[in-house]
Amino acid sequence: MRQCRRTLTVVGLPVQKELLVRSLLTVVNTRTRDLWYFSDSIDSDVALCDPCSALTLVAQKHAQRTGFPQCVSVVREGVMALPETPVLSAPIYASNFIALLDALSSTLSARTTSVDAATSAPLRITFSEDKFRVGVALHDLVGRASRDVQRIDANGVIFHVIPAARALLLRQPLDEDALPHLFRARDVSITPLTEGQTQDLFGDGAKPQSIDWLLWRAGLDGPHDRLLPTLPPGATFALRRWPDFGRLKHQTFHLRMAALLTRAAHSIDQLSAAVAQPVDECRAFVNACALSDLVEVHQKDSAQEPSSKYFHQTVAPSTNRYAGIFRSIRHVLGFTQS
Amino acid sequence: MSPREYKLIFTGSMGAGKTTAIAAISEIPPISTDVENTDKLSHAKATTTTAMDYGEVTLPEGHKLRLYGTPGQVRFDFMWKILGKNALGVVILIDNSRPDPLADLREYLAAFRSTVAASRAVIGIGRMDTHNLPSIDAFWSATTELGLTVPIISIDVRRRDHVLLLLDVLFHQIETANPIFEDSESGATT
Amino acid sequence: MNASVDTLGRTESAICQKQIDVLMLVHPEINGALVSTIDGFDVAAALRGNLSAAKLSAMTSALLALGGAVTSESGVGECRDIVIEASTGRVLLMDIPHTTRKLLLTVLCESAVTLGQVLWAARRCRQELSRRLDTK
Repeated sequence: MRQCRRTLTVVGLPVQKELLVRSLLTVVNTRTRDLWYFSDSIDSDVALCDPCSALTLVAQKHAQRTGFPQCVSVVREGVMALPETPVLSAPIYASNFIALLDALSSTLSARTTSVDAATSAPLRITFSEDKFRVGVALHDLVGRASRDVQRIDANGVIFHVIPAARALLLRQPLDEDALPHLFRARDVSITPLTEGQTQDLFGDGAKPQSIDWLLWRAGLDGPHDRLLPTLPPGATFALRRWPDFGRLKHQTFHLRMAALLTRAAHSIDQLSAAVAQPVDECRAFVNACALSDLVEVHQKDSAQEPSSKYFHQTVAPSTNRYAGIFRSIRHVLGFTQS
Repeated sequence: MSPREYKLIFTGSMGAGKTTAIAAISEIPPISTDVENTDKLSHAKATTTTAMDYGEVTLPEGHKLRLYGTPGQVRFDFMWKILGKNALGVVILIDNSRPDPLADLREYLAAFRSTVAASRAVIGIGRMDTHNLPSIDAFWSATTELGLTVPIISIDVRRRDHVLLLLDVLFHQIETANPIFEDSESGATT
Repeated sequence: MNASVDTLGRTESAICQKQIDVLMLVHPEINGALVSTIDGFDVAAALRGNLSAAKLSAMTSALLALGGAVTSESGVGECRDIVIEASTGRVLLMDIPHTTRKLLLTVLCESAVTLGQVLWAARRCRQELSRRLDTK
């Protein structure tokens, strides 16, 4: 049987245990059925967890959402393991470790086979009306959270995605100039890679990075004259949290939009009035947030009363009490003005 | 109008970059009260802040923006109270490479609860490039569980544009949350 | 409890404890003494009632660090002592010169006694500590 590449991480274990696991892996690799590698990422096949650590809860939630990692409880005698997880007793012995890894290999192989069967055919999506093609296709792909690496070809721009990890796999950075071309593609081809092709991709040095920035850009740089098909035009929108502006391209007025939408739902017109920006910019922002799964749709008909009392009290920046002092600080520190 | 003083607090765990953040924007070399760290098992850093970091920015018309960095460790929490009084806003910096960043965050949210609850706070998570968990969503849940709404962004404090972004987010949050306010509200002293 | 490998060994803690015990014995007007590290960990303490050695250690380290910032800013050299006059007592803080690591001595006393007397006693204690820790 062909050997598979598997990844393993640790969650919540003390440093000494982590070091032990790392060195044990290199030793037992000649004796396990598959090839196991240590990874720092939560998106590994397996995670050795301390049931008492808060970080283990985070790993379990991630596993519930994406199917990975498979959590294993590392426990001393007398300590309770996580429910319905394999157990690795501490102190960790090589023989037990090998047995566990081989057992997990069987489980993982069974899962991969069923996924492969379901997604082996290439998926070609053609959009005739919808102008958000690539953005929506990527968003839906990531939402399906397949563990397999997917090859994306849109207008000749080719890259790879691991949906379950919300990750892009790039051999080299996506050219900024290529993005408009990418987002204008009339159709998108999505093809799952085989195990061998995946190994080759990693072998070529493809590095995973978060796909969030690309989804954001697909919304921000997509059509400004309309909302995404999934957003009702007459509705009010709120944000469930601030976008991570540290990693997302933005202008200053986007910060104000986020500040308003995290406090209260606004329609596009209300938002435009509140931030003194054209509706096009407001649509682009809401689209970007929607592709990033940050938007909550509130009232379907904005002709009704605004959903928040704050809307009435929203004061344009220039008349806000703090306008003077913040303007001074921004000016002195050299912020870019919007 | 007589010159007014405004105070911004930078707080967060040891090594999260409070001193670096202040240095990025202060017009004076920051005054620091760093001393030798004798507890190297808990923290690898060579030094630790015991009292505060201080920087300042002179604004037009003689107004002053004072920047205070708090000590990160909980045994200096009396300094958090002292420094936090009448602050315009607080910047909470979290180092995601530490063992339990969510617990760290909860500590500072509790210490500066009144400022945070008045929507005068922003959270910057450092080292997310190499340590992607907990995620921004996990931090968001941690704040909303406490009934708080705080903008959270991932940052690298060594980048001046990221420090400015933190402040810009904070200012927008304050402006939006306090469109109409009474003269007696905290945030400025004459 | 500080478990750092850099912490003073048990012998050195014992030396500090002995010296402040002697200080309190010889000078009954002194009603509390504390030796702590520069970053706020307690090493040896003789304190009355509910006073927390841990808390006081953190506070004195902050105060002396601030004192150092003030003297540096004012161009008057290194901060040696800080004296706090309070309504019912006095707190003296001073650094203990040491070749390898800095320590702090804190002395609490009643207001009735003259400042000069307490300073003299505290400085003698500091000198003795410095000598004994250096020769160890």
